[in-house]
Amino acid sequence: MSVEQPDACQHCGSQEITQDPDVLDTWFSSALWTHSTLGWPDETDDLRYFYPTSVMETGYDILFFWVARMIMMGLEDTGQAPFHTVYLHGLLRDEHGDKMSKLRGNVINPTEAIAQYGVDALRLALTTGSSPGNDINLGKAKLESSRHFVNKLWNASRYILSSIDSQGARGTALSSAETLAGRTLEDRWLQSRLNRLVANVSRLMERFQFGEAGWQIYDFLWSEFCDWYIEIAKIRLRDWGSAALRVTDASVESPVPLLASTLEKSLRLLHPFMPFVTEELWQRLGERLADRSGMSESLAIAPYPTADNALIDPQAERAMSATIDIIRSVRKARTEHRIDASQWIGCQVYVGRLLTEIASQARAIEALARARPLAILDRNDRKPQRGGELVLVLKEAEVLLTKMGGADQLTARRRLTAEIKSIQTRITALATRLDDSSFQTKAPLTILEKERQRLTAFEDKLDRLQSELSQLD
Amino acid sequence: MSQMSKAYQPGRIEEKWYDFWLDRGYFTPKIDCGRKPFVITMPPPNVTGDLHLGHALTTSLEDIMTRWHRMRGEPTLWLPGTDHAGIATQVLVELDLAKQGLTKNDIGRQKFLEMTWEWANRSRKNINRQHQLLGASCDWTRDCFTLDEGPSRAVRTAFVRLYHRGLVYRGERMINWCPRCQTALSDLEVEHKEITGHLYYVRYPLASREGFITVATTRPETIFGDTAVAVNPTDQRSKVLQGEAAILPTIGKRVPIIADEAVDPSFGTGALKITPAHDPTDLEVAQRHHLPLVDVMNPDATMNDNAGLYKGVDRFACREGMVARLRNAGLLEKVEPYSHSVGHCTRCNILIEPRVSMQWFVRTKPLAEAAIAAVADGRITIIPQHFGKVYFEWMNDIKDWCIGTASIVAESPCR
Repeated sequence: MSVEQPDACQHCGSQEITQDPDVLDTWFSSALWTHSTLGWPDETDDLRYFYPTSVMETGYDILFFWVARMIMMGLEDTGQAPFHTVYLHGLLRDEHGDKMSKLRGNVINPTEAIAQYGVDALRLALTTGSSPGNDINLGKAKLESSRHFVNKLWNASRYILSSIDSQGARGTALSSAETLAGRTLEDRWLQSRLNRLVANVSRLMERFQFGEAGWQIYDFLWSEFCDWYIEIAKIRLRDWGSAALRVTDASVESPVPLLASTLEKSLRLLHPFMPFVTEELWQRLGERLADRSGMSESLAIAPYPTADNALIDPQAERAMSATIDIIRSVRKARTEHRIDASQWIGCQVYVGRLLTEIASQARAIEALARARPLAILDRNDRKPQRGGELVLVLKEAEVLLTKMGGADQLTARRRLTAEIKSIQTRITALATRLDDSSFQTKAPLTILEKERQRLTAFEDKLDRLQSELSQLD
Repeated sequence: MSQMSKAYQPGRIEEKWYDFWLDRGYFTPKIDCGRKPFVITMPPPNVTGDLHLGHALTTSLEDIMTRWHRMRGEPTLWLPGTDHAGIATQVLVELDLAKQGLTKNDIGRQKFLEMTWEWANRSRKNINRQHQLLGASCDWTRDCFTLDEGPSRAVRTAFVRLYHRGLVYRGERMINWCPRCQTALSDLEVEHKEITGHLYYVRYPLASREGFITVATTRPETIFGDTAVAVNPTDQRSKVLQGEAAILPTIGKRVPIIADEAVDPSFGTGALKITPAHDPTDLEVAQRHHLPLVDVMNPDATMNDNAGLYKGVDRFACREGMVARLRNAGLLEKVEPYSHSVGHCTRCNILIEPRVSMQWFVRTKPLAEAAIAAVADGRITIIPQHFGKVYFEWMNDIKDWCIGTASIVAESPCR
């Protein structure tokens, strides 16, 4: 018995030896894979440095055939476990949860999917929303929405890059965005959201929750960055572009540096998920910045973002989410009352503690909700209404819309009564839950606190709904 | 700076950046003893075809981890590779040959090996290219193939070490044998087809008193190799016969009547002939009851010395002869038409013959104990956690591992 081809039998010296003609189980060579690929049995530099490896990632269907045998043989041959983590992914199924098979005709060929949707979209569709060990459903719809996201990112970047060009902001440094921190509510909000995202992503990646990490980046970029910040930035840029305003109002700053720095950080966050489009956009951005603003020669080796907790600003988040709530609610009311998209509607917003912050978003609310004339006022200064206005009771504000045809007393009463009923149901459910002694002892303190705050917010809204209703009488 | 197109156009951009990354050598880590590296070994895809969507998922997840760690400044190695897949690759090459009306014996071992290597190399290139399409940031300078000299030597070394530690032994195991191709076949090379044959009800006289125990069999030609008659322990009909002996019909040899759970009481008469050398279930029964093995066939499926006057006769001719003899002796109770699934050779379509062969086994118990400890004490974490339980269950109940027979093992006639 020997490692190299022998010439004679070790027992009797006979040279009439034959090679056993059968084949070794292929799992035997696979079982050695983590150390045999690094040079074992030789004590190579690679083996010394890279072994034991870190992660073995594979499908749960070969846990026994392969992973268990690798652990056995790794320990047997080297005395060390071959890796510290086994990450098992689920099996792929079609959008209905059926197994993919040639017979069913629901097989997606990766090469064809790449040609049709691009690699980044395929990778995103495969990984976002997946979690370890759970099967993954994938169909055309998911691939298409992933491609849609890649295009959204592309177009947002196109806007930002062209803004850099047209605003003469070429040659800016990314660090100039930091000096702007605290200037406007939306800037503080965006930086807070981004840093919270970065912290979440780090935590999720460390826990192998890649699907959730990818999803949160996707959600931030699509909703907070593209749908809100960039839309508000467009308004600011229009104002900033008008020389009169720039001269008279020094507080109106260009949003371009923060747009650039947020895009740059987001591309770094997203790169592991979608390496190609992120590198392309990042390079295009780099070329527009002074000395590439210290960016490395490739995104592939750029540092992964780390969170700056000092930029997390709960007050800005609260005020901005109230602003978004106002705009969304007005838009919804417009749709419900079939108000033409081009028509302006009068709008009074009454707020409490967040008055200054929300008032700073007047331009955004006016443009994005098409609300004119717009007044943002203190709740305490509210006068009895003349009637005919539509009243929206929101978490942080009451919004009065004028010139809304069909907002008669009866309809308004019905709507308010329905809302009161719905919030009472939620209050009862939440209060019961909070009264439950087992919930009190088992739930983490942070959850308990959050639920109590929700209850207070609900009760506050109920009060305000009831006072609106009483005003109608 | 080129103008940005209105919609993202992936194709050229993907190629451009992959080449750029490769060119700059970002995927090849530098050994830096001051820092802990992050390492993933790619599960090597078989060189039997294209990558499927499951590979794309594996690749995406591993690339996410790899790129993330690389961006965190860790020396990061993702080591790619491919697997020879053993017989499966040979079968594909043989299927290719078959299209030209050739077999591997027609072209000779040397030429066949060359063709298999060519196939594997072509396939490896293709698989690596597909990984690159997916953006996999592997270190291609360390690309490995399971049949490369390094991994091959590791296999020989690991086998010899296990052997010297007394963890390897030879044991009997049923293999699929093609009497025409004169070779063992892997399960992949056996095609199961439904055939219509007969079920013969044969009377085995009792040894110690008047009467018979009747067994149902599709293969009366193997009666020469019977070493027991078996019934289910719960079968009331034959309860009194358990522990007695029966006489092999027309042969006169005495065999025990045993009870074993493997016998299906609803099949035939509820009694089976046990022919351990020619049936995988019978072999298991024989191993449980320490019954001898009697091989009655030559490798070409003609009968051997153990078949007495049928020596040299083809298996199917022997069957006809035995049926006539049993009928004449009044020992054939009845014959029923019977369709059942039988393995055929995928190359020549002939009925395969199960044969007992000596195989190499690894004694897994001591290896499994160490592997259980590694997960139990937290040196290895399994994600998601609930698979840890599945792992322990399986490892606690592990069977010895049949690793086939290594082509590296040299034997002389003295053993």
